[in-house]
Amino acid sequence: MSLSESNDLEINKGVNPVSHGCVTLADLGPGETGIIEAIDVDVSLRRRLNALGVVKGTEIAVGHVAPMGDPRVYRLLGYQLSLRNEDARKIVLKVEDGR
Amino acid sequence: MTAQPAPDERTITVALTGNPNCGKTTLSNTLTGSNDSVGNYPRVTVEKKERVVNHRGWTIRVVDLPGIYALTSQSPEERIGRDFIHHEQPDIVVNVLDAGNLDRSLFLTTQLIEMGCPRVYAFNMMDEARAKGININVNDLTSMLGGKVVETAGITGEGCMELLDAVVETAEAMNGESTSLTLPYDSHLEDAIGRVQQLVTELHPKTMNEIQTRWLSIKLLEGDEEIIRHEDDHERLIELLGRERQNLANTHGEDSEAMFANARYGFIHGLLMESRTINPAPTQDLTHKIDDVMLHQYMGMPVFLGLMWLMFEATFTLGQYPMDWIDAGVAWVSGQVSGVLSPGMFRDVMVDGIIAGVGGTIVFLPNIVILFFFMALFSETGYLARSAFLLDRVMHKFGLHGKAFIPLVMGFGCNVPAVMACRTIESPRARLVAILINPFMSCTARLPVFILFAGAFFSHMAGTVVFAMYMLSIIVAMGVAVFLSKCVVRGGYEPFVMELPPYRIPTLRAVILHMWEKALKFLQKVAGIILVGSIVLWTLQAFPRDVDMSMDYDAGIAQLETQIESPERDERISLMQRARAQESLEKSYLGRIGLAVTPVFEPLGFGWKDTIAILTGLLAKEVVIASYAVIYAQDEGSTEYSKGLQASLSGTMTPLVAFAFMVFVLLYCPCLSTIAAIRHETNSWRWAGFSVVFSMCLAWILALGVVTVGGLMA
Repeated sequence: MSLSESNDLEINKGVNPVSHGCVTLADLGPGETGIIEAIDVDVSLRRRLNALGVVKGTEIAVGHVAPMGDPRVYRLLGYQLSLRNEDARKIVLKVEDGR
Repeated sequence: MTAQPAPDERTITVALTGNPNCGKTTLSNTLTGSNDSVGNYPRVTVEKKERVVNHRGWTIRVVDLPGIYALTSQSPEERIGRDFIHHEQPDIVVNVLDAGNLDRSLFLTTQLIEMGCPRVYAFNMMDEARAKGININVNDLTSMLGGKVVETAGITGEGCMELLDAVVETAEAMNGESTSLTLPYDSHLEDAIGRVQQLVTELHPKTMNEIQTRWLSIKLLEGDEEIIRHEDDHERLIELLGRERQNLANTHGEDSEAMFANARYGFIHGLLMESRTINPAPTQDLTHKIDDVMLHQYMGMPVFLGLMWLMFEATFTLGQYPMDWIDAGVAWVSGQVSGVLSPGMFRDVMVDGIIAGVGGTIVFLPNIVILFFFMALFSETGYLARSAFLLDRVMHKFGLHGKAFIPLVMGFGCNVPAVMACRTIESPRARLVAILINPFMSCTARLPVFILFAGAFFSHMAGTVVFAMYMLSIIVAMGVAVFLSKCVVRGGYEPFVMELPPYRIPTLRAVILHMWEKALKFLQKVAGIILVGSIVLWTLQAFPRDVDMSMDYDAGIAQLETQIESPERDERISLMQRARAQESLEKSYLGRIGLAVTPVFEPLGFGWKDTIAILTGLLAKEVVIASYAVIYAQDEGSTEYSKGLQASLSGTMTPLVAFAFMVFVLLYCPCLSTIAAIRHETNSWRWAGFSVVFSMCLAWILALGVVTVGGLMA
């Protein structure tokens, strides 16, 4: 346990903070598209997301939404991935089209 | 028999690896001609499987590894995959990729390339990819990926021979050296790798080649916990790593692991730019259209519940017809055997023991096959993954993970593979909860009990009562999950990250194979434990032969028979015969055991015959029915089975007690195989023991609750 914590270094907290005003994946409405800018989650989740193509620069769109609005389906790299809003909130998107 | 000069030379081990749901199992079935069950949801293979195939004079050992997205040490399956490739060093790794989904599938490939093992690539599901308008230049990729690329389609068998050819050719061309191909990173990363690699080489002199030291260095820089733990004693290395990683993070504003991941996707992107063309076909996205209904915000749940209800209703009503035929068949066999054999102990053991027990159980085969048909249908089409998605929110509330839903549904089939399927859940805590609640999911072994009891006591709404038992099993599983995660195994948050595969039309062959496999397993059980159990039960109830009866029934009957024939006389004779049978059964060994334990179940209203059924059911739940069949076959002297069994049962308890009995059988103690599976998966006798004691207490308390509350309402 202590190993994985020490592994976190100070990077996640220090360099890419999800500051107010950032557009996150959770802010996208159904059918909307964005480009991933930063992923601010713990090591183990980020590792899994990385393996699934959720990395900086990937284009991602919102698909179907589960009952009660959570989780949601995202489409990226030609396949579908489901994420909870709680986690999607930690994925920051590049601001574009004046959004 | 004579020793070949070098038998090993013609034998190679091939590891099949790839993302979940990329068609590995289907491909490997086609390659080796075997019939493992497949499903259209991620991670069907929970253990590595091994098969052998001969091709062009080579013996190829094919090891089917669990589907993984990466070679880190995140989940037990990833560890199985990585450890196998790393430690057992297969001669060739066949990397199976979903050709329609290369952007993501190649991520695993980049890690395989870095491990340096000789590779062959199967670009699978080529048929689907072509339909999407994808065209791949295989020759270009062969050189860029450092291994032969073969286009395959596991379902049609396309490219399978070519794949085996490629494996053999790669094996023939091997000279003991690994194929070296390095993934280039940017200069900062390369510098860091260089420095770490230098120290690693120094620390492990002569034990590793350059590819291995580079791989190790990259893994260390990425911060792989398991690898770092291995190198823990090299203080200098750990110190260097800390410095390098902090440096990289400072200059790039990003964790070094994310940098490596980005670079890998960059490499993949470049690769595909050169070798892949996509002419988007004007076809409509059918998966999306189906999901508009299946995953509809308001319709999704009702559709899901409707499908579940349909499954259980069909299991009951459709199963009725073949059940009647088997029933009639068993009765006919029983009649024939009774006629051929002369009266005596041998005939009794055959007719009242074996045919009653085995026949009484085998009638439920159609129900079981139908249930598995639906489960195969749901998993093959890709609906099962959707149901996990639909239910995650609810599951999450109960301290469970959406992914736990798939093992839970598998538990409706059999708890043993379901407990094993819990490996797909990454977090140890969530996995433990999912394992412990699985035995509460009503497996097909319990289905016969419900069908028998629902038919005997609730004939006008049998299908609904069976459905209610399944709903109850879900409710109890959820309730226990809440209890466990609140009180026993507390833990933090686990994210829900799951791929939703496209809908696929299941092949008839796959569905039938799946049903056949399950039917065979059931028949094996009947031929094994049920057969032996029936004989043992019969023996226990037939001995001791000479017990002291409370009155001389024989004399009484003989005396009655001398009287003038009248309906009243016949009734008294039959009454006396029944009383005699009843008393001899009570005084048999079986009766004595049952009576000794009955006080425990007295408050629930169960008699000693029910107690016997419960006790024998500890071995395997199918034995419950066999027990009843043997006990009542003797008691009634009847040779009709489930119908007769239903009739004999219907008077023995009130519907309320019958319901309580169903609840008890639903929940009490996992069968022996499940206990063993829990022990294996949790790696602890403590949890297996916990499961036994906990479920026993819960079943008893809930059954008592049913009797008490029902009694108050009546």
